[in-house]
Amino acid sequence: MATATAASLPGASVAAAAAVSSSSSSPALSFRILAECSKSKARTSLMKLPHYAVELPMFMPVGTQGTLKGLLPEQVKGAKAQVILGNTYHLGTRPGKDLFQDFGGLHKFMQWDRALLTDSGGFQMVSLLDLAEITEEGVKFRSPYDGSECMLTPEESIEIQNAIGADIMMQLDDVVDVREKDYERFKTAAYRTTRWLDRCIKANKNPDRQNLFPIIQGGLFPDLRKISLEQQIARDAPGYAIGGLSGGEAKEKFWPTVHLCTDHLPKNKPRYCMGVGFAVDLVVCCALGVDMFDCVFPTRTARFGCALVDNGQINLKARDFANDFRPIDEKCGCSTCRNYSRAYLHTIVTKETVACHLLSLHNVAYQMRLMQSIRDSIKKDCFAEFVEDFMAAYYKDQEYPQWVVDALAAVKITLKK
Amino acid sequence: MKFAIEYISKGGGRIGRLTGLQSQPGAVHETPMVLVSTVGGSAPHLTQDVLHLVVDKDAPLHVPAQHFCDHVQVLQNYKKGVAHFSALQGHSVCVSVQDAAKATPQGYNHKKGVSLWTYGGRQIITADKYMDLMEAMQPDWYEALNDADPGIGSSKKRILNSTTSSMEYLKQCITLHKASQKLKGSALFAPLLGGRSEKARNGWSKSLMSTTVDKSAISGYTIVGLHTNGPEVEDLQPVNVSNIVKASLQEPLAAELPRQTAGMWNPLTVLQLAHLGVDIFDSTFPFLVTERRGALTFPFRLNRRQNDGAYSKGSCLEHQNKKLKVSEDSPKAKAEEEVPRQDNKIRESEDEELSSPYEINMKNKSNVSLMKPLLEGCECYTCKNFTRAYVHHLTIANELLAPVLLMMHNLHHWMDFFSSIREAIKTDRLEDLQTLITTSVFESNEVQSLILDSHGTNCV
Repeated sequence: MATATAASLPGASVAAAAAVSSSSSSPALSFRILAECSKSKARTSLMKLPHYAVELPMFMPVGTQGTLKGLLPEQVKGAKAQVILGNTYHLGTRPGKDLFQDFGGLHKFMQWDRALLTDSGGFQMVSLLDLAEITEEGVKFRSPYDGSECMLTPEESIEIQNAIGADIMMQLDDVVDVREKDYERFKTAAYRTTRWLDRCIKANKNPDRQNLFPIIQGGLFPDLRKISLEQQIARDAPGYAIGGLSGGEAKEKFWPTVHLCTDHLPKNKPRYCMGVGFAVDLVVCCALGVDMFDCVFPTRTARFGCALVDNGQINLKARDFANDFRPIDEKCGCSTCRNYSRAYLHTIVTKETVACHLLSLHNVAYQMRLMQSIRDSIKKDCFAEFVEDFMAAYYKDQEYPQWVVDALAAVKITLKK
Repeated sequence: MKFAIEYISKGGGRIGRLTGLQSQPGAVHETPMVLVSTVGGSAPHLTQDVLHLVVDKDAPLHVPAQHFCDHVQVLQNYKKGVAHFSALQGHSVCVSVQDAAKATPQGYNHKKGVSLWTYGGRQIITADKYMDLMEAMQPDWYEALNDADPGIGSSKKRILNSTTSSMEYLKQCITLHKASQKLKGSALFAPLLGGRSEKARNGWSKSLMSTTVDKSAISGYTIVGLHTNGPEVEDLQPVNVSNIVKASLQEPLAAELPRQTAGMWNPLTVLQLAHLGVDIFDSTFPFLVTERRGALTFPFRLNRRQNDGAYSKGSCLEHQNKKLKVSEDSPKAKAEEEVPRQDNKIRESEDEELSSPYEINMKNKSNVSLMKPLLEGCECYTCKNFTRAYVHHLTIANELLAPVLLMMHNLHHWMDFFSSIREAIKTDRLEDLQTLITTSVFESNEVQSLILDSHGTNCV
């Protein structure tokens, strides 16, 4: 008689299945759920990447050109950032992939020793360049430097991303402006994105230390999203991204699409919703089961003199702050709030670069603190209460936007009246 | 404030000790020393924590009144002075009238007051307003309000008007200073002016020592009126300023009080001013070099003499005397580096880079793949962590981190330069330092035009 193995025991298969569905392992990424919300789809997990063990859910500040808006790497670490995002289009253009190959990657170049994620370059090109044309081969465009015709193919995008050396790379996807009305265009994009994914996977020279995430497309059409989900999941990647959103679409259409994607995406792998960064959106998407986010908003708004606070943002240019000797946020432990007053910031905002650095630092710290609160509340299984309190503080007089109410209701969270 | 002269070098220059500052009672600052220049109360581009990676937490700051005359109300409400307001408590503060980094428009001062150009526009400051501002800023020391307008080529009449107004302001400031409770712990410096006329400057200094001025209220001097601030000051060479500064500093002016100057003085002119006995300088030069994306590379380490004992090979051997082998990292490097400057003028190269012989310009394409630091052997944060390629990338990408990293390096370099100046004076080798920089940075045939007879009288 064969020795009973653990797998053949009745209880063991349930345990094994449970173990499988809450963790996963790829050569360059291991993922493990630490706790789940008993009401919504929120969960908190640990994602081990080559350069850093990342606590999820988390927000990635955007360091487009290999730098985070005037901040030293140690300041960014001090604000508790775990992963930052670099843009392949910008970095591939300048300083270019050859330099990264010589220097051994972006981590060394910019002296960032935690994790990096690079996007594919596709979105930047379509949004920044005139005459960018998508063909089956890739994205055809005119170089902004000499007007010559260039092509960004999935292979080329991966080659640049391999040189940059980020822990996570994004596939080149066929991204359509979400406000486009033509269903057929989205259909083409959904299928083409999968074909391009296959080309990206093949082109990846470093699967042992660089993860490649597929991106789910399909616009706001549930049937197309399902097709994309099915195809992309079949490629068994270390993690997945929800793309094609945060492009100005109505929130009423945004959240059901996210909800659909997280219902279908494997539970035991990280889910990344690209381009989401406003506090309310982050909280809702966490409730819907998203783990990773990125957005230029916190660093961009700092340049205009705006600091993030619990119920939105304050613009330090306003005269109200001229004699306000409090820090931006008394609860915030960032170095800006520990040392500088609103009144001082008011005198230099939009005038001296130091103001920009101080606000960027605070805004990044704010986002990190928000995500930490989310993680902590999930661990203690009081995420639902956290969401209720957060929304009540954010929306005075409890005038919640309908989409927020609906999205949270869909995952069994009811807001206070 | 207390100032004591410790040593007068026969080779030029003097060493002093500055103590008794109200915000740092225990601090001792050795002179010649350099103040950290600021904009809007902060070191340019550097938040407080980043500044503290470069300088000590008690490094004295230079704050122009010009930057705060729009904010006198909030400072009065704040009650703790400008250093604290700018999150730099612990640093002592010296206040001057004008911002040395920005050219002061000429012709706007008259009997009513001195014009200060703020972000909000032009403000006309009387002695009363100025002293209100001083009380609100709570400096450790400050210069009296003055009309130092006459720059190059001012008429005799203009100079006379400016000295007349300035004497009036000085007397008003002295009266108000003595009557003020809030300024009890602050020290008042009198300006030394007279445009570029040796006669006018000497006359002014004489009048400061006469009985019409209450000398007991004056703790030091600021040398003004040699220029009207801004980047053009860089072009002034030792030969342009030596005689007029001597005219201000010579007898009968009290030699035992500290002398201060501000402006984008280039390193050789700084050395000449130190030679003449100036004690306190600012950091406009490294700041404006940063603004044009330059990184300071000029050498300033004198190797120890053989008969001093241990011969120390400095950490930047390539910056030693030109007779030693020049490494590829020296300012006069070869092929792969940028074209070395041929003269002392700021020259725009084909790429339209403003630069000087004291620096390398980070916009220059030769930097694009250089894995080495801005300056080999430099121990600053930027050089220990980043490459020229990265700083170049940040520069042409117009990223805000470029001026941050450059300011850190340039300020560090400037501070080290002053350490070297003090060391040179103590060992009677200030002239060797002048020679080192001159010969490393310029072609030999230009040297004569820059340095005047260094055996001439100095005013220590």
